[in-house]
Amino acid sequence: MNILPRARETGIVTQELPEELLIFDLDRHKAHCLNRAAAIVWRHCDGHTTTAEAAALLHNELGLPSDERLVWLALDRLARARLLQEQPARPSPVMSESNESRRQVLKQLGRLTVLLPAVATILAPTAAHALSCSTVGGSCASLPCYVGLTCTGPPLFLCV
Amino acid sequence: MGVVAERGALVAKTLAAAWRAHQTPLSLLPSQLAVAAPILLGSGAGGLGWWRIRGSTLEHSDIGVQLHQAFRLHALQAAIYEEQLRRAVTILQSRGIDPLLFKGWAIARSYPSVGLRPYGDIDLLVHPTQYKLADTLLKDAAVQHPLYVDLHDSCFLLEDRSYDAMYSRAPSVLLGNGSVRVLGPEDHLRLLCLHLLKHGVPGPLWLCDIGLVLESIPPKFDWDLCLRGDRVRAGWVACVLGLAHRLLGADLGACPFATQADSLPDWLIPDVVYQWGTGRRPDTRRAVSYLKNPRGWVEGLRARWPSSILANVFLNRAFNDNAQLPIRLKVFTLRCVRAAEHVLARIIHA
Repeated sequence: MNILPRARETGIVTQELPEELLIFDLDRHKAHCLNRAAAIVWRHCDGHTTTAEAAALLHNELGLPSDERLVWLALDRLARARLLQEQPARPSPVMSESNESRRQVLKQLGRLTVLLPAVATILAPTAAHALSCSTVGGSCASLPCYVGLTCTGPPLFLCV
Repeated sequence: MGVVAERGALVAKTLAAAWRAHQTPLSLLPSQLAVAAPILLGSGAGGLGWWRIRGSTLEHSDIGVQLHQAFRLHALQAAIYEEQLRRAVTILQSRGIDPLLFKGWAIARSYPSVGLRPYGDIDLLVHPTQYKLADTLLKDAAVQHPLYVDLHDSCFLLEDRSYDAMYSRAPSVLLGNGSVRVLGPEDHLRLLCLHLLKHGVPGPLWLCDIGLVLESIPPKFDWDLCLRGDRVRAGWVACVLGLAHRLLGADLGACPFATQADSLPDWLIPDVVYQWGTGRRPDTRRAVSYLKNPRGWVEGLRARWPSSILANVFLNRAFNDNAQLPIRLKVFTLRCVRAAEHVLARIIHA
């Protein structure tokens, strides 16, 4: 049984919006935007909920397949954004952090990729303009995605 | 209309009725949004810009995404400031000081979503006899964690109203698990209008505030109380309401002097759209700052050339259709003399 790690509780400010959860990291002065899937996983990072339970929640609330790999994908992204107290402990190679595994998940989900757990770093608009990177849901056909996001590749070319 | 004024007019078009929960139709080309967006982002109205285009094809354009980012950042900023506000109010109330809140959070809370009305500090008004204690308490608290509180013992633009009178009219509103008093609607609308003019209507955000307040006026709103006092200022308030109506489409339905508010001097709207189109706030740097940068003198002189609004407010004149050039020249001269006096005083002191 795999337990979700604990989410950070100190040094952050959160703001709930209808479709996303915003988190400001007071220690690193970084703002993050979690889509609904990532927000569901993050909110249940309490040291008690299991990955299977989290996958069931994603299925019930968003209609995503009840697949634990989605939860691990969210945990990867949350950990990379330093929004967890500890690194998630991976039980098996199937749940591995490799790009190949991540691409496999994306491929299998096809058109549901837009619902995948996503954690985007929010940049000030002027900086975003200067960097010319695509944000979550943006096109990555000709621009790279922001750090932490993955390009779905053909045919959608969306940053998720 | 010149290029600058056209930009300002596009900003006004983009933000028309942007404070409403439900969208009104917007016909804006992507190229027009591209012109308006830098000004929206630079003036703190990026969130409102996104609110206006959400659901349209513009929302997913590169500029739409930038406006959305601004909205998110403003929303986070609001969470940070609200936490600070709770701290400040709790500290003061625990020592028997019940502050009055105005501008900033007091107006942002009325928008249909967080992230639409950013603010840079927390304006608190306390009784003059409690100011010193309040100031000490807040400064002590700020040692551990910053508190962006702008504490006032009087309100410069409402100096004809006593603190006690304003306090007696101030409703309590929810703030987290507690409550805080905000200026009564009549006092607040007057303050917002005068504050906007004092700064020369620098950007569209504060005029959106007026539109929002105007359209959410409670049934028992006392217009006489709002306009009471100096007649020049009462006229200014009426002009600001007219500006919100003519430039941003605010509904004047509740206003008993809608006709008066709607008949603005010819120069007023061009003055505002030009100011917005520049994308700059009026330069308020002190002349001494140019001592270290002599090339700044040219810019300094240019900055002292006032808009008609600033010139009339500076001279406490009613807005009317009189020729504006002599008024602006007079204020320009006065400002330059004042700046020269400051510089001379600094040189002598040094």
